[in-house]
Amino acid sequence: MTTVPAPTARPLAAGRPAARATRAARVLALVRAEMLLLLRNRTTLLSAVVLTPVGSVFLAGNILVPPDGGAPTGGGVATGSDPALGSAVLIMLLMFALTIVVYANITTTLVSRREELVLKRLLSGQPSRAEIIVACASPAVLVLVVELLLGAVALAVWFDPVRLRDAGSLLLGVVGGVVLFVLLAVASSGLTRTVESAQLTTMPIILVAIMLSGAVVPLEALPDVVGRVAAWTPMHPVVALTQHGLGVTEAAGGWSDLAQPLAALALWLAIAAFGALRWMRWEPRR
Amino acid sequence: MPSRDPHPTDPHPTDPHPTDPVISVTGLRRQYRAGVQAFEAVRGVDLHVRRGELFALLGTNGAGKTSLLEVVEGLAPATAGEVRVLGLNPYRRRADVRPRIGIMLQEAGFPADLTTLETARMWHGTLGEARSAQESIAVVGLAGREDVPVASLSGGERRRLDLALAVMGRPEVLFLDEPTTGLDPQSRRAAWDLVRGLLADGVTIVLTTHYLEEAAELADRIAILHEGRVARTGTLAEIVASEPASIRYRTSTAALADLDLLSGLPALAGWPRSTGGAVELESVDLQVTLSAVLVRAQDAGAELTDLDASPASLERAFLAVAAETLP
Repeated sequence: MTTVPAPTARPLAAGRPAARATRAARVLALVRAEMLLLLRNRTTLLSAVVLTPVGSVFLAGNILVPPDGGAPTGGGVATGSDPALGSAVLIMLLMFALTIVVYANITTTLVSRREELVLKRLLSGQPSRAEIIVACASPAVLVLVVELLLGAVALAVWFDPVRLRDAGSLLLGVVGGVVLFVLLAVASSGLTRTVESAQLTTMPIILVAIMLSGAVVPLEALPDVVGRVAAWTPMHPVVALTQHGLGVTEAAGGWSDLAQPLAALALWLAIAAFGALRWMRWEPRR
Repeated sequence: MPSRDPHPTDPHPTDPHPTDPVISVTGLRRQYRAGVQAFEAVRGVDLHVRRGELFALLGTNGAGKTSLLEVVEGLAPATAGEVRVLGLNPYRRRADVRPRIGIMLQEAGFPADLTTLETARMWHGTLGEARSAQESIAVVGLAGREDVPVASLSGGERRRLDLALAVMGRPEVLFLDEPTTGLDPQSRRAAWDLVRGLLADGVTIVLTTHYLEEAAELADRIAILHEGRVARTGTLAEIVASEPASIRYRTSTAALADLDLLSGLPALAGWPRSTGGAVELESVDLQVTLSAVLVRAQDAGAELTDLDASPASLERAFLAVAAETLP
């Protein structure tokens, strides 16, 4: 510090509340920084932008259109028609984005920020805990939204446009899924000591969520007990709601058919919120 | 650069209420964990920091400085007791208190892949009324390092960036937890100048430090923490006055080597000691005791070698506190 200009501190008058940035301004400032960090982290960017869409298209293609040219086998898709295939790919994309882009990335981000004492420093400023979490989660959620929109457009070009049967159900599935997997990431970060171990701690939820979602293997195709358990795993309600919204399933009923997925989603949101509040750590365990 | 006498007669000439406590801590306790693993880091602390003063918190490692500071900053709740910052509970009224204070933590991090300027801009965006990011960086002498990634900054530069963020919001109250640790002497002096400037502008500062000369140089009042309690508090002069001065010499003359004879010297604090062939005296009034020793030496025709007389110091007070075992 060779030269230090004369300090120009101008304290506010005693007792007068200082002007405070709005909540939106605070979050925006943090989101901007998080976006820069995402763009500079090539590994994260690659998994988010390339791996997820490629993986979901590959998986959907293999499951729905087997290499031997036989009948479609999974995903609860009723027919092999192009719109249904497009919707199935979109659901697969949502599922991969929720687990890889949102859940795994946010867990890693929070662990990294915590271990580098960034979370602690941010907490010493004006942003609240919720604002910091929202800011850390925003880039991943933004990538998910962009991927879904681009995916819908791409599928409309290559297949027929995705059919929309119930926008409310679709929106609930997507938004509920995003909130759920962000909360699960917050909870998981508290149980993860290092960035490296995040790959291990997130793996069980990723595998269970994908394999028992009902999108890869229809629950009806599973043994009865496994199918009934799978219906209460975290991704199933998301898949069920989006399938209903996109008209993938043949169920003709309305929201009454969605009672079980809605109950499962509510249950998982409660569990994830509890876990986030209970386990989230803001500084390293010393 | 505004100059400031660290111990002025009237440090707040423009403040109509110079003794108003900006920070008030009463019976504060902070405990970690529960049950058999329970550890009480802060054990009943009372403190009052006045508007516009620099209050230094000293203490050995583990004395409870940072634990205390975190509660006062509103980063953690108190287990018991009461804390008021600017009249408000800093933990429960975080949203009201935080815009009026600045915090520099003992340990903090920034995203390694952001540059200095990007980090400052991020912080600036979370504040209301604030210095610009550029100005804040310049204030701590990091001008020219704006485009350097945080990962490439030296430890001292990161501390200065941390300081820049702490002062960016033009705080009324500033908490500095070991702000100059890791800084070279030149940077430390520059940081002191910055602190003096902030004080001249009326900012109230709470400082923790392991550098006693830093506290002596800057602080209006000092508290020495030990084992979670305030062991000494007052101005530098008051704390120093609580410790005896020391006189040390070697001699072969019995009148000045015999401890029983020496015990009659005026203003002694405690019994004279002999260590390694040297006589050691402690005095509550250095001038009086030293004069008596010199008169006695003159009368006896004694030669005093290695004579050393030193007044009490903050370091002596600190070491005395560190040696105490509190109940």
